[in-house]
Amino acid sequence: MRRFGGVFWIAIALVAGVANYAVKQTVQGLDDELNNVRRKTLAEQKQIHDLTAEWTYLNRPELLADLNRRYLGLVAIAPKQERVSIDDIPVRPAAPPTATTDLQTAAATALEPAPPAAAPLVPVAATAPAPTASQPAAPTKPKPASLDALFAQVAGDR
Amino acid sequence: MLSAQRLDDNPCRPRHFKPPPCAPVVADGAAVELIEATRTRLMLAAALFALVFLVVAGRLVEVVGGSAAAADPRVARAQLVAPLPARGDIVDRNGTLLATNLDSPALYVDSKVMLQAGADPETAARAISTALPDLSPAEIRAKLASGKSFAYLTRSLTPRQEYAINNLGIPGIEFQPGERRRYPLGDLVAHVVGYCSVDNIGQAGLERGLNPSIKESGKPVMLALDARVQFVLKDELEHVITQFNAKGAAGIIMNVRTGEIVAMASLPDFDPNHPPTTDPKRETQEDKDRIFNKITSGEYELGSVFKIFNTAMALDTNTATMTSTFDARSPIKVGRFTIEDYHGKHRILSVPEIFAYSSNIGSAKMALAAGAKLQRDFLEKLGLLEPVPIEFDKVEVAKPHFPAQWRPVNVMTIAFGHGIAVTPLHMITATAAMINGGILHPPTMLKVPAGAKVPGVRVISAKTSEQIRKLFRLVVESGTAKLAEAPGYVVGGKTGTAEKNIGGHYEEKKLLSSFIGAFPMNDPQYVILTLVDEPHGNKQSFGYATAGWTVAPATSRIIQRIAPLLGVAPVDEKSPEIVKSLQIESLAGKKLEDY
Repeated sequence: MRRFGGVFWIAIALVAGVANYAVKQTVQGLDDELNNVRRKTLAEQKQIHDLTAEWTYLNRPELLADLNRRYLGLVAIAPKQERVSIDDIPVRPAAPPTATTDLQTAAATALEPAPPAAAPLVPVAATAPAPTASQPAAPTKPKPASLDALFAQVAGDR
Repeated sequence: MLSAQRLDDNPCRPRHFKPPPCAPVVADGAAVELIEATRTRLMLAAALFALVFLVVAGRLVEVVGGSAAAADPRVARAQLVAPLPARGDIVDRNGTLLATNLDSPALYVDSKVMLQAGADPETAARAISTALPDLSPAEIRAKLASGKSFAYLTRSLTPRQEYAINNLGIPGIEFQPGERRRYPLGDLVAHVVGYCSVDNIGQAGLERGLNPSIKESGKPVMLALDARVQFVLKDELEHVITQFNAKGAAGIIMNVRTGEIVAMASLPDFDPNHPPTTDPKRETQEDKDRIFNKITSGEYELGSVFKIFNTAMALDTNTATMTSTFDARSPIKVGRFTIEDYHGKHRILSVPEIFAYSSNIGSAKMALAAGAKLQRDFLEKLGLLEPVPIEFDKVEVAKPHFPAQWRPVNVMTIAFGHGIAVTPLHMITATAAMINGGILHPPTMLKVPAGAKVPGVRVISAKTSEQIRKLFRLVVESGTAKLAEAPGYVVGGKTGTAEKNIGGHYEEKKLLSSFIGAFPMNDPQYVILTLVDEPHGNKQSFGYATAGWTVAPATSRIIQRIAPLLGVAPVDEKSPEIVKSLQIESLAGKKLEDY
């Protein structure tokens, strides 16, 4: 019994010592890792901050306006074009009755964009200022056919 | 057990000696007692140690187990925290960066190290001056060869310059970390934000006015300004300057309900990244003009726009009503002054007509009917006789000029905005109170959080304010500012074309044309004041340089561009409710004869 007691306590001390060492080692490792991550976070935050400044610089309204004038020719929305609430958007007129009753075909036609000729048919909600057949103003430059073409044009202009 | 143990008096007894079984020896009583006590003590000590070990082991289990320790706030470790920037950022109401700090090291030379390393100052100076062409090679060489251990070559390098210098690899040339204030939007917000010195101390604008709070907190300051609206305002003002070959222009846009200033521009302006010098020895007139904020520092006799206050005073004090009439048939002569009407009607005019046609004679008579005391008290109540309370430093906020003695002639001229000089900021603050239902809100450059209580005092009755709104609309519908109309936004306003007072007399050819407009008049949200300094008439304006031809059309364009940005929805101005809400009863639906 007494011998067993001694062994027990020595074992406890050994285990505690080893465990202590192991824990301390792990904690140190974690600490290093944490500091590393924090350092990286700070560096990243700083980088984000610098990039925000650069992004703001590149998004100067006068620069955007100039780029728009040169490449896009977008114009401001006219008051007539503005729809304030969802109720102001006119409901699409019912499609003329077709021979087919296939629901899928009907759905497909409903999803198609309205042909320009149908525009005058669109009823205007009572609150809308005036009937609109507003067409976007013609851009100052011929509009490029695709994004790739736009990139090519921008590259060419540079 | 113990008592049965055989005690041996021989101290050298071998450890494993087992006494032969024999008759038990009766122990000596005192010795047994001593041994018993010692043993008890030993046991106690062992138990104590065991307990401590158990506690340590228990704690170990707890720590490794984790959850309890992690939640314990006492275990907080030393945090790696970013050093606070020298100054907090300034952002607009949408969070767009207006001013920030960027790393910008200073360059210095340790001449001792350099000479010890055997570098040739001559060659080094030449190399540095190719990287930094602003510096003179002779000056650099002198510093390099000085033998001192520290001399600044330049402050605040750009990253590209830093890279170039580093690439030269000259010994003894060192960088000192530093920060420099930068303004990504450049001259767009020049007068609002202002600029900083090399030592990061605010020199102008809000950088100066809010210097302590920007420096201390290190937190971003959010302004009421909207950079997009600011751009529209500046763009249109620049357009007016080129169109009418003017000396300068200024504009300000304010939210009438909160006093928030969403845009403020003064032209000509400057790039806060490279501010003009303020050194009295080198400063030119042009530098002064560029750095001058017309909105807060400029005092002007604004002319007819003052008729807003004159009319409001008369209506609010009941010295006139909307149906009162005043004789505007002949000019008024007071001493050497003659008060005349520009494009006069030469007949008896009602109050709405006086306002819409901007009759000086009618306004002067309206003011005389009220008298000096009422007029002075009213202007004082509107804050027009003292500097406007705002976040700018007080050196940038001008004190109004007005007569010390309020004589009848002053009463008459002040009625149409002469003989009193106020800043455009005064003008817009007081006008907002005239149309928002009668509450004067102090203007602010800082964003007012949604739902926050806005300070304000009632200065006129809600009824008078409604009448002023109707008069504003009348001016745009059939008065002097028809070109300010913007379809869908129910614009109203008042024009003012003042001759500039230069050296004590009024110059007929040097005008200060201003227009104060608001939209939508049925429920005013924003008020815009634009003014243009010394415009010259052109072909499109038929030679006119008056407000109705210069700034009124600009205001129309501004409103059409900013309303969608500010979330003001267009309405049908011909809808019965709106027409009814802005109809002047005394005109009984009749239109005024054309101005």
